[in-house]
Amino acid sequence: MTKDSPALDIRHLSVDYHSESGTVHAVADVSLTLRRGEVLGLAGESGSGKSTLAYALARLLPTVASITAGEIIYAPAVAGSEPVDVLKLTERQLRAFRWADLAVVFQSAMNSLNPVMTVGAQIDDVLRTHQSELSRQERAARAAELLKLVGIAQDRLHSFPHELSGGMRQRAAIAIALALSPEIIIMDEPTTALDVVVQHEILTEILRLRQQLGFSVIFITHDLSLLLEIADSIAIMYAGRIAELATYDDLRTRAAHPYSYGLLSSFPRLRGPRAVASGIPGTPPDLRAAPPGCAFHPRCPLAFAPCMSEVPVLQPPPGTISPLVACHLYDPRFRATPPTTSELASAYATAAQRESQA
Amino acid sequence: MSTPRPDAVVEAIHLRKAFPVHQANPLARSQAVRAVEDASLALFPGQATAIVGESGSGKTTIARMLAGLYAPSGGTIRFRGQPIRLRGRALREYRRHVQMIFQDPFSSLNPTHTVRYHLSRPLRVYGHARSAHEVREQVIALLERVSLTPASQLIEKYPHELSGGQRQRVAIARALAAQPEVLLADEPVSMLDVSIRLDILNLLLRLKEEERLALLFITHDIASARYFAEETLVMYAGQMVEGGPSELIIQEPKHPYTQLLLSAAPDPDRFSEGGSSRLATLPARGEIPSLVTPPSGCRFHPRCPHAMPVCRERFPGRTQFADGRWTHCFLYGEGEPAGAPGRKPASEVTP
Repeated sequence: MTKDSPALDIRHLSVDYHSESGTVHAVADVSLTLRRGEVLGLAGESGSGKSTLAYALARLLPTVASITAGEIIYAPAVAGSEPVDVLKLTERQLRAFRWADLAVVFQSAMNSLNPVMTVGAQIDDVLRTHQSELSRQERAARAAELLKLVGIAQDRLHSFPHELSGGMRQRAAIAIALALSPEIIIMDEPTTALDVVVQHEILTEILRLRQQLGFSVIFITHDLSLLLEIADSIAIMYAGRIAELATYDDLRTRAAHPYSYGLLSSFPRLRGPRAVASGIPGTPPDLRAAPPGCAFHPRCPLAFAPCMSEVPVLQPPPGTISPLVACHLYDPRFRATPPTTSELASAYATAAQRESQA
Repeated sequence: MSTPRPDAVVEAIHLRKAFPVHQANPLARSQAVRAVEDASLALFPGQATAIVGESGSGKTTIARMLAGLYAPSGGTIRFRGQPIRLRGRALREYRRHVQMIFQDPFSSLNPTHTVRYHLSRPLRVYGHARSAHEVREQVIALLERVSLTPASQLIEKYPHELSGGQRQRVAIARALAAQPEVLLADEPVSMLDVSIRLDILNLLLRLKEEERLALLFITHDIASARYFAEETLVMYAGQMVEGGPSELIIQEPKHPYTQLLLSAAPDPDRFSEGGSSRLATLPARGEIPSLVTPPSGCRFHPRCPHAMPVCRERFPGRTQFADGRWTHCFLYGEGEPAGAPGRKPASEVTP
């Protein structure tokens, strides 16, 4: 297994939510590859499907949701073991798969830790369930080792979650996720409830552990500026689909999809000219009544006829291999030359001007 | 600082707030959360002032004292140069001029009432509209001022029928209905989707420019303070540590805490070329201390990489710089003791 080989290969995955008011296509035809040792960022606003996608990977979806199509191929790093389709695992196989192969760190450590169990007991619980061959002393030693790994003093083993600060709780949640040395860790907004200084410390810790232990990370957040600092590649989701998949550097310097570009310019910057920025006009769509064609077209300043009828396919612009972008502006059938970054900028500026006059 | 400033609409002088901690044992020594210690600030028409700090820094407590929601434990609040009384008719009159916008538009609007109700209440309470016809006209005008169109359709909607951004616009319109001179915005965009945050900030900026409103902008995001406010104040654990023109504070922070805050803030434009890590190395670690038993002297000293013995003993006075900035830090000398002559507003020193 080389470092660049895929750890998880998601192919044409679709997830629907069923409710009385109709079916919502929360994730639609998503294909994505997580490479070994990589931090893959998943960015999107509320309702973009980023969390649904992540929970589908761990088969943790609520009962109102169902996976309607696709495969999730997991390739273990252990020599000789065959790739498996996570969607075909039995309950029993799933129990072995979760935590040992793929672990999840949830958004709020406050809610994901058990308030009436000490941190040590919660780590012990995982070890006892999944590694029953370990003796009590071995489990205690491993729990202490895990806390040390995430930078918590060992005397905290006997602390209850409420005795720890927010940052320490999040570290403890990461320690529990690491208990069985998983190959993949899914982190769902792991730092959203934390202050910037603590957030920065946790992010540094995650990157250091990744270096040390070699796992891959799927990092979900609404905060694209965080991903630009820690992710290797970034998938931008909008209304259940991937709008763009690019390396952090490509995205930072030349975002291709108009939505990615708009999202990036929605963050006030700390440096450079203090220009008046505009954000993206309109609001994210209600998925119960998603717009036809490209779901972003009602907000897109460069939308043209094909966007209203045809769903764009995620593919590289002609003559290149990266980034992947789902936008008709890059499709030679509709437009001879792809738009430049300055064209995106001026289209947004014009749209903002029009809006302020209206 | 003790002389009233004619140009300030609202001025806070040496504000303090301690919340008593209720204890089960009646004989125990009484304790308090000392949320704000000695905070002074002034708000000017057509100017935005940002308070930046982490959770527990006291920034929301200051906004709530200025809004008349909490009674200060010490210090004075002046409105147009006159000390205010926080009770009865005087308080109601004060609140007409000083309105607040809350963080969460999902809980600050009453789910059982329409947009029309939310906006017509303040119009009636403050006597800005007398007949049903006047109310409707003014509600429509308010909705148009916050760019909620078509106003005639939105007027009968309930909060759950609106998006987060639309709800926050209704909350802003409700604040405007009282015809205030001051808007206190407590993290007005942090609950909203990223792509619509700028729209709301730009709306507030437009109100500031066009209607000469004085704005207080409470935020944890120092980059949006730079975008939004002419003047920025930095708070740590209830103490104001630095203040002055936003651009200067962000480009060359003086106080070690401001420096820490800036190096921790996500900054896509800070990229070490070729380095394996894009994250900056932090100059300090740790979290905000307990406010029941805060560290003595400067509350940042246990985390400060430059801490000296004196930092433990007392809180430094204010050191004023020629460019309009000030800081409370012994690295820059003793500073002036509390109650010394005031600083100039940022608007007078920025070119």
